[in-house]
Amino acid sequence: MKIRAKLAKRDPVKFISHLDLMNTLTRALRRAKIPIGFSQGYNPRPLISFGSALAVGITSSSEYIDFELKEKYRVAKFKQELNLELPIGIKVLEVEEIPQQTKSLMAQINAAEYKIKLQLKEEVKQEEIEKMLQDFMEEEEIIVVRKRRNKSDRKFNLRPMVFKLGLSDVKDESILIRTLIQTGSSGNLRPEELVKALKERYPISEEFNLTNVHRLGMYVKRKEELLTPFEVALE
Amino acid sequence: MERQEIEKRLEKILPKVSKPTRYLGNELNAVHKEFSQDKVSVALAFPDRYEVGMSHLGIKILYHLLNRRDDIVAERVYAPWFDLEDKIREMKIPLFSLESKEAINRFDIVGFTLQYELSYTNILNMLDLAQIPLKSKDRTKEDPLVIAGGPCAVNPEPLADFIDLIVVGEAEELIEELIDRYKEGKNREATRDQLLRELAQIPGIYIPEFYKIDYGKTEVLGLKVENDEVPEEILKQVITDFDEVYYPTEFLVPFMDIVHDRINLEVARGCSRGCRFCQAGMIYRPVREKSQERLEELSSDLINNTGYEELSLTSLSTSDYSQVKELISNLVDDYSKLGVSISLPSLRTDSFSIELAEKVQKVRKTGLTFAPEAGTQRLRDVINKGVTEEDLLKTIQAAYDSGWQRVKLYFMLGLPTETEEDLAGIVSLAKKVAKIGKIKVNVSVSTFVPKPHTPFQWVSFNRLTEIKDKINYLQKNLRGKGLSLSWNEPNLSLLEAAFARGDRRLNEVLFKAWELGCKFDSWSEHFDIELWQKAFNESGLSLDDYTYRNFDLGARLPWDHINIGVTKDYLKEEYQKALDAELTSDCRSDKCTTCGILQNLAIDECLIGGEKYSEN
Repeated sequence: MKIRAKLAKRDPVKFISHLDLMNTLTRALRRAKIPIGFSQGYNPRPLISFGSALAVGITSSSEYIDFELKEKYRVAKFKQELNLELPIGIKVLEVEEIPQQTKSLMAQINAAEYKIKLQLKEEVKQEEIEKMLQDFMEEEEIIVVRKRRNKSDRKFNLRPMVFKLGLSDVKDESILIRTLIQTGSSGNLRPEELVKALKERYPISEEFNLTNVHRLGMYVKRKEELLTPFEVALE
Repeated sequence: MERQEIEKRLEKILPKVSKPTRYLGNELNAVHKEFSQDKVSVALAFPDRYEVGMSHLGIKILYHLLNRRDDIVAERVYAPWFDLEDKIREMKIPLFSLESKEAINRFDIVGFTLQYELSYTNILNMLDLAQIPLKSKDRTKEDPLVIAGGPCAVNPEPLADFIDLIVVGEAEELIEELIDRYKEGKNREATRDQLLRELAQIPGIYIPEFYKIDYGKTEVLGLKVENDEVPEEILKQVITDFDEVYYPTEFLVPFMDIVHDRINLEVARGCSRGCRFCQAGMIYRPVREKSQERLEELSSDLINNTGYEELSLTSLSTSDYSQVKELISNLVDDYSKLGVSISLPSLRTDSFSIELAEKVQKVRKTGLTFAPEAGTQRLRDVINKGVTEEDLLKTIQAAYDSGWQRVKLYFMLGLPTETEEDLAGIVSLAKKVAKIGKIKVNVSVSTFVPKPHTPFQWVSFNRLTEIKDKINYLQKNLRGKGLSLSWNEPNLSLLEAAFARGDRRLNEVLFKAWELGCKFDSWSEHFDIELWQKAFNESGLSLDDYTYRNFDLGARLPWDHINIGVTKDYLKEEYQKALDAELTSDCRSDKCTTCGILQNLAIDECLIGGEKYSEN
């Protein structure tokens, strides 16, 4: 059977890598005695697949993961038993049994929502910031450069990849922005690239770390409709 | 510095360093306890980076052993990697423990493990980062007690100025007594000197400052003990009930990938094979085994508590474990369905070992490693490696027939009495192996380093120029289909040789080298022989003198006051037999070789644990 789960990856484990998280889950499943399936072949791997990798430093309250089990297992029990074995900072929030033929998360998810904290150099009025973000969204083309290992730099227009961008909170000398951007195999924008583009236009913020980013949600976006990976699997 | 302040500053730094997970201390089964005045706090320090230190079994055993007690808090610290070191120096953050981010200089005891000589500069660097006075004589009651133990403690002299107290032997046996006495002294506010004097009473404890040593050009002229209370000779302490002794089942599981990322289950300690170059084979005697029953219980608990995908049955020679076949069969039967594989760290060169390897590697046939160590029968007899060419070829044929495609053959260069013929022997042996089917052969060579408390403790390291010629020779001659060669940087072995058989005069060299910036010397990309040459010169000493020294058989050696239980007469006899290329048989299967271990340590039987079952 297939189980789709939504997990949180919080502050204490924000620095563990995608691969670390994979190993951590596999070991927790084993401790919980959940009958996870393994691939065939010389090097059997547990049948666990992720939506999209989270960069080291970012916290998240919506990591989607599919688990393929060897036998029937109660989903409520899956959540309960796994949570007992997961280290502090990782928690299963929601689980659903999904049809066997459901497409992979990787193939489905195409949008991610982030909350980004920016430290300001000095106090800026809320209206000014809102104006900046609005102006940003009215542009047609915003070119960024992505460095690639062993390959030439890639230049691309990030503007169409930003679906939503707004101010969510202002606190003393920091602001919280909320954004929905494109993710997945047909185009992937990294939150730090958006921040870089913002900073280049409006040099209001201090030095920025990925630890200031939190992933709020991952979605399947169809035109203006936004579905969660659970909704998509169960439609 | 208060830990809240350390944490605050780290918040800013950690996102900017490589692999911050190294410094978090929140691994599965990590122990987080409150600190308080009535508890003794111990920082367990491994002088290398996290990935290496976290792979070490000894620290894991001690960590969990000490934390079982309510009156002890034990936390870990590893050498910070270059990027973090730069940042914490810049931000004036003292070295901190992983779990509580407590400054290391606030611990009662800081214990270093001495696993290899090339980690010594890291010890100095960690003390400096911890803002603890580097030299023992400069420390006061306010500073932690700096202790050390591990295999290199059998010749601790090159570190005598920096370490307050050395544990000789197995720490599980005496660490609790050490802490109890420390606690008692701390409660009645004993002076540092009083405390050290009392601790010196515990068998196996060596406090270098109580010993004055006079050196001649190479040998020791005399050793004076400061007072009657401290013993003239320190006798290694060992666990006598190895089956029953504590073993952790709440094993630490890291988030990130480490060098040995698996459960280590220690099936036995010690090895009776008697290879003459092998220090571990001498210093970990006598051989003791855990019962099959205990090992199966431990396996079950360890797998349940860690969820690890691999369990390795470790020891110096696991295929010698009395019940190895039955144990492996049972473990494979019980755990393969959970996706847990069982592994063996090394294999003996015989068909029995192939049979074992077959059992543990039912699916994947990765490479096998064999260690003939030397190229000719004569030289293998010199080192008492009881392997014949016929054994080797037969074993590898059997491995090939069972599906293995690659073998690694491990040899040492620069063994005593080595000639060109022995080198030619490596080439011809490798070529014979390569003729077996389509097997791929990797020849891996390293340089022999003579170690204290072995039959070769008296002899010089092979000249570096000769070693280089020998590597060249192998490069030229080990060519052909299916053959490849890899070797270790001989400069590293050169320095290792100087410190392995070093004496107290090297403390100054070590200090200077550290001042010149030497650290992580076991990492060839960070090792700089020229800085070390400079450190020797500035100390008025010569690296060559230390590396290439030969001791007279009658001389008093710099480590003679450390008694590992194996007698010096036995080592001499073994050395003589080596020169005559005469074998000594394994006492497990043959008669007692009179190494002296049982008499010296007052132990009744050898192979404790094993013999209880081997008769059935």
